[in-house]
Order: sequence, then C-alpha cells, then structure tokens
Amino acid sequence: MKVMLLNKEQVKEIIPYDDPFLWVDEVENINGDFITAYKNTNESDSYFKGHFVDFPIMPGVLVVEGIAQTGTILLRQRIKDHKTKHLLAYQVRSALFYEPIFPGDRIKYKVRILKIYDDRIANFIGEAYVNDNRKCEVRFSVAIVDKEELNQKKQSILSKLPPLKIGNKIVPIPIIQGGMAVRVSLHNLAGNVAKEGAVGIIALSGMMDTNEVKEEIRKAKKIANGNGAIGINIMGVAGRFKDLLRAALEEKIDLVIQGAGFRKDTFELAEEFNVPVFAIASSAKVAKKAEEAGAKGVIIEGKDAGGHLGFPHGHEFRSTIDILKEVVEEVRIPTIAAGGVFTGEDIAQMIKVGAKGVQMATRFVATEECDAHDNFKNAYINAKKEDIVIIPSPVGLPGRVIKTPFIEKVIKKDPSIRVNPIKCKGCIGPICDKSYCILEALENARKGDLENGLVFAGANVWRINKILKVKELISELVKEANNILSKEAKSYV
Amino acid sequence: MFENNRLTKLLNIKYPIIQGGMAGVSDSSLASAVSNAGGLGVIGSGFASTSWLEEEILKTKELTDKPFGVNLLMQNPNVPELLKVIIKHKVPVVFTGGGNPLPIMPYLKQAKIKVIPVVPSSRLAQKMSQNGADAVVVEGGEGGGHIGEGSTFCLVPQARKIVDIPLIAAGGIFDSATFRAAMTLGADGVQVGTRFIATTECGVHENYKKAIVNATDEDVVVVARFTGHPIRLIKNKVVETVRKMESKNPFPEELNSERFAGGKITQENVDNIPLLCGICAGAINDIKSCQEIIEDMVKDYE
Repeated sequence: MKVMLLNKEQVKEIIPYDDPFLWVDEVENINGDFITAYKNTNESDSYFKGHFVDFPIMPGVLVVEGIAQTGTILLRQRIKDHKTKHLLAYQVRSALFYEPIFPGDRIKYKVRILKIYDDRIANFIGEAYVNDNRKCEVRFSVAIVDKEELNQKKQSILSKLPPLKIGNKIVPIPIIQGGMAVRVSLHNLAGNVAKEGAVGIIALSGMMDTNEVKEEIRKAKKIANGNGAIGINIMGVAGRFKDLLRAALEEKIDLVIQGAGFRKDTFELAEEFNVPVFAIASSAKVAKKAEEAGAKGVIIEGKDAGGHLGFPHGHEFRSTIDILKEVVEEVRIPTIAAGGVFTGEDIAQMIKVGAKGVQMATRFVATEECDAHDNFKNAYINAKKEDIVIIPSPVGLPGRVIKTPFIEKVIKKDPSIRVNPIKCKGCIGPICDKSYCILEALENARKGDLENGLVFAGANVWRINKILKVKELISELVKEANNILSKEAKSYV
Repeated sequence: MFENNRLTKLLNIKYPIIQGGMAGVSDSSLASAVSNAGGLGVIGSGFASTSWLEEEILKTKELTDKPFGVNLLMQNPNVPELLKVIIKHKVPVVFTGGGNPLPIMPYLKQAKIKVIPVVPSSRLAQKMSQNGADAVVVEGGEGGGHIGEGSTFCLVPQARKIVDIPLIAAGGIFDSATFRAAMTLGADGVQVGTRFIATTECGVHENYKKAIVNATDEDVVVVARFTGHPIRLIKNKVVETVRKMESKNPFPEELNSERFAGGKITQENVDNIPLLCGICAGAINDIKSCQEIIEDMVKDYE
C-alpha cells in the first residue's frame, strides 16, 4: 500500500467536515495546484440502500461533493488564515458522469485549481476515477468568505431591526417620526422620540419666524439629551424656505427631510453644514432623481399616508411596498418606507423587502407627548373607517383627512371658506388655488378648533384606540418587529 | 501612383500596403521581402524573447535598406524589454495589438518611432488618434488570429468619419479588388496578413502554406469565443480539441492563448498546430512571391 500524505483524521483537521458528510478518506499527494485523494466505498454505506433500491450505485451529487471537498483541502493550503474563512459552493458547471461507481469501489479524485480571483473565487476542474477509468469530470467554483464578515451580515440583516445610518450618525432604532405640519410635531414629540433612540422630526411648514425654528430645535435637543437624532421636515414650496432651513442647520440638526419637490439649493445649503438630506418620493423615477440630485436617503411614501399624497392627478395610487421593491433595485442610497406603516409587523415586512428604516406619523399623534391639542388627538381616537376621506388640497395634490364640519364644506365647495385675499400671506405663492386656506385650517385643528379645522391622518388612523406614551409606542413596535425577524432568522439558519 | 498618399508619405514607402505582423510567421525573411517589394514588412513578435527579436531586427536590416516595422503583442509581459530592443535599433515603426498601447506610446514618441495601433472598433480608432497615434489599423473579424466582432466593410467607413490620421483597413484584404474596395471605403492603405503567408519568402513550413491554398472559406472557423479572445484559424486537430473542450462549458482560463501565438511554425505536421488565417484563405489558390502579390494588388492604379 502506498504511503498517504494525509489520513482521514488529518483531513478533518484541515476541512470542517465529518461523518456522515465527509467524502474524502485520505489524501495521496498535493503538488502545487494539483491534489489527488481517495474515498473508499462500502456495500454497507447508507446511500447505496436508497440509490437505487434495485441498482446500488454512488449518487452523482456525492461524487461531485467528494471532488469539491478534495478541492477545498487544496485551496485551504493556498489561502492565508484559512481557518478564518468559509469555503462555500459558488458554481457547478458541466458535471459529466461517464460510468457508474459501484459499492466497494475505491474512488480516486484528481483536482486542479485553475485560477483564484482576488482571493474571493477559485475555479477548479476535478475528476473521479476507479482503477484508471474516468467516472466523472466536473468544473466548479468555490467562494472564499470571511467568517467574521458573514456573521455580521447575518446578524444585522436577519435577527433584529438594524440601526439606521443618517449621514455619519448611527441611530439605534430605524424609525423616523414623520414631520407633521402645521405645528403638530414640534419639540415635545420630536425630542421624546429621539430620547428613545429613534429620529424625531420637527415640521417647519407653516412657520414664518426663524426664531421659532431655532427655539423648537433647542428644546427638542434638550429633551433628547444626546439620544437618537433630531431633524426637520420642510416643503420645497414653503415661503422663506431658505431662511428657515439655514436657521435649522445653524442649530446643528442631524437630518433634513425634503418633501413636495426637491430643490437644488436644499442640497447645496445642507452640504455646507454637512447635514444629510432625505427626499420624499412616491416612485422609483423620482427616487432615482433624488439620488442624482444628492439625496443621502429617500423616503418612499405610498398611498396609505396621511396629509398630502405624492400622486398628482392622473397618477395611480400605489402601495408603499410595491414602490419600495422597485426603488431598492434602482438606487443605492438607503430607502425608508412610509405611508400606512402601523405595526411592528409592518416594519419587519419593509425591512425584509430592503428598506433601511420606516417613517411613521399617524401613530405618533396618539401620544401624550404630541404637540397638538387634545381635541386633535381625540379625533384620531374617535375616527371610524368611513370618516377618512381624500380631498383636493389647494396646493394641487390630494390629501387624506378625518372628516370634520370644515371638511364637509370643502367637499361641498362652500364659497364661504374661499381664501380672503386681504388675510392671505401668500405662504406658498402662486401654486395655491385659494379654494380654502389650508394653513389656517391646519392651524385651527392643531389648536383644537375642529369646527374650522382640517385634520390630516393616515389611512390606518381608525385602528388607533388609545393614547400611549412615546416610550410605550416605540418599545411595542420594536419588540414586535424584532420578534418576527428573530423567528424568521432562526428558521432561516 | 501613391506619391500623394498620406500613408506612403508617413512611412516613406512606395505602396500603401502593410504586411500584418504575425507571431511565429512573419520574421525577417518575410518582412524584408515585403519591404523590398515596396510595402512595409512587419516582424510579428508575439510572445517571442528579446534575443529572438533583436536577431530578427538585425537580419531584416541586412536584407533590406527599406523601412520596416515590429508588431508588439501587448499581452506579452516582456513588452518593456522588447521595447528597449526596438528603441536601441531605431526600428522606424511599431504596430501594437491585443491590448492598450497608450502606456508605451510616450517612449516610442520620444525615440521618434511611429506608433500604429491595431484596433477592432471605430471608437478605439478615435481614441488612439486623440492620443497621438501616427496612423491606425482598423481590423475586421474577417482577419485571422485574434479577432474582434465587427466587419471590415462596416468598420472602415465608420472610423473614417471620426478619425483624421491615416487609416489602414485590415481583415479580408488579399487582392486588387479587395484593396480597391478598402480604398473606396475611405482607407488610406491596407494591412494584409494571410495572403503573405502563402508566399515563397514566408518562413513557415510548406504544409502551412498548402493548408491555406487548399482551404475553402468553410474550412476557416472561429474558436475560443468563451475566453473573450476569439481566434480564427483553419480546421484541424487543434480545432477539434478546442471544440471538444468548448462543449463542456469550460472556464476561460482553461485555454492558454499563448498556445496560439507561439514560436516559429516550421514543423511538417501542421495538424497539431494552430493554423491562424483569415476567411480570405478560401480565395487564395497559389503560392507567389511578395513582389507579385503587391504588384497584382495595385495594378488598377497604374
């Protein structure tokens, strides 16, 4: 008997295989890029019993496996720190089986490394012989994967909600509290959301005074106490747009969310302060445009959102998840899912499709900390499914609202609510059709005057039945999402 | 006849006919014969060694006082050393193929050696022109050896539109009609390979020449597309072996392209060596001298 280079025990020390799935018994020789090894089959081997019942031969896949295992013994000699790597099947091509292998045959494997690409992929050609008769020839590739890298990937993607990256900042909870105008999400809501490790957003729309902007941000930051992140939401059409944005940037916010059309100067100004801009988009096309314009993230808002919807007349109302699936294929920047996200299960679903986080607004209105009047919050608690309607907004987009006496007038096109030109501040310029003053109606509502107020809300608002603390809401959402993700991770691994 | 031709003026030759550099085929004997006949002979260096090239350059200089060139295969890792020999012996013109010549261009320019890259597309022709090439060979897939995707018939007029430097058509040119056609398409001159193998002066074994004479157009085939570097050659055992391998969906690295641009082809048994040549081999039915071939090609211009 020829002296072998490695016996079975020594083979096991090199490659991480063992019975019943080790298909190499001994290595005869290793010479540069070439290895020869053996596998002894035995009539009593389990696979012969089932393959085939009436004609026991070695399954072709096992021959290929044996050749590939032999190849990895060779490859492990060639790569640095091979114990820190997994060698995984990457490709099998042109496996040819010339003759069957019978019980008791001693199989000789001959395997050659053809090329190793960048220490990532190795291409092989291998053969199996019995007594100098060629039984099988196969070409295959093996991926060389860093164990550490793979573990990190597996954990962050699968078992729980991943942290959200906003520019250079890492926020532990990937939930952005959507900015709600006018003055529904101010320092108290945004600050408390950030305090819990998520992203609190102050809505600037409707504000005219830079001092108010600065004051709100300062107060929010004080509540957050260094946790999470504080950002602002601003509409591209807002009056005094640049002054308000500059004021916010001067207060060192972490994020700018740009809705209702993105403008070049937003990106330029934010860049000056090194603050990332996330743009709101309702299609892959617009998302792509936002990326090209310089957005560092994109918020995908689908048809179930509250307030103004990004589907102008003639555009199909599409669900967040449908748009999201297209967007993640199109853009490289992080995507945030928004519109109708209500439960932890919804969050988990969006993350699985490829979102890096979610934006939620409606649920944050029904919190103790929300800056709106209790009447406004109660409208959310009391809303039934049939109370939720979509109306035309004077800015030219549809808007989702809860029915109030004021909304009845809007639907009836009551002339008494038309904008009084004397009182009009021209807040958004000529794009307003003046059918009613939405700024005044929103301001009335948030102050508690529902008679004359307009209450924006998302499609799922009817499901809300109590007011929670921000802390309770966030921990409930995170717990539910993590539960689902970890369960699926377990079933995946 | 071609006194006002831009290419003959550039290279100081009588006829705008370049003999294509062919590794293992075009050495000093063929190159000097073509130059002596009024064209430009070119030594094909392929994967040859520095000493071989130096010897061939010296021999060529002994055999002719006319200008000649050397073809450099850019895939050869030895290019820097070959370059030194070329500069040392002041070879008048260098053709490049099989890769990007821009990195070596400054050295050749400084030595006042003319650079003529061989390219497979009009875009690359334009790029070479913009980067200081003295002329450019646009080669269609009709040619032999390593080939591109386009055809001479389509590439030449397209390159002409966007390239101002002298344009040399290659691929499928072997007689007076194809020469005239290339000039009509806008070329300033032609590069001819296969026709110059079947010559009395070419140093390959008679059996290689006979294979070209005997071949029909259907005998000339393309293999090794899977490597990304397809090769045109005459059907024989080599082709059979490669085709058998191709049926198994091989990895690109299983075929070594050096095998197809090896040393001088002088062995008698030509069944086991790659007989590179263009489709025009089907129309070549005799072995002639370089002088006869060139005179026949330009006869319509007398």
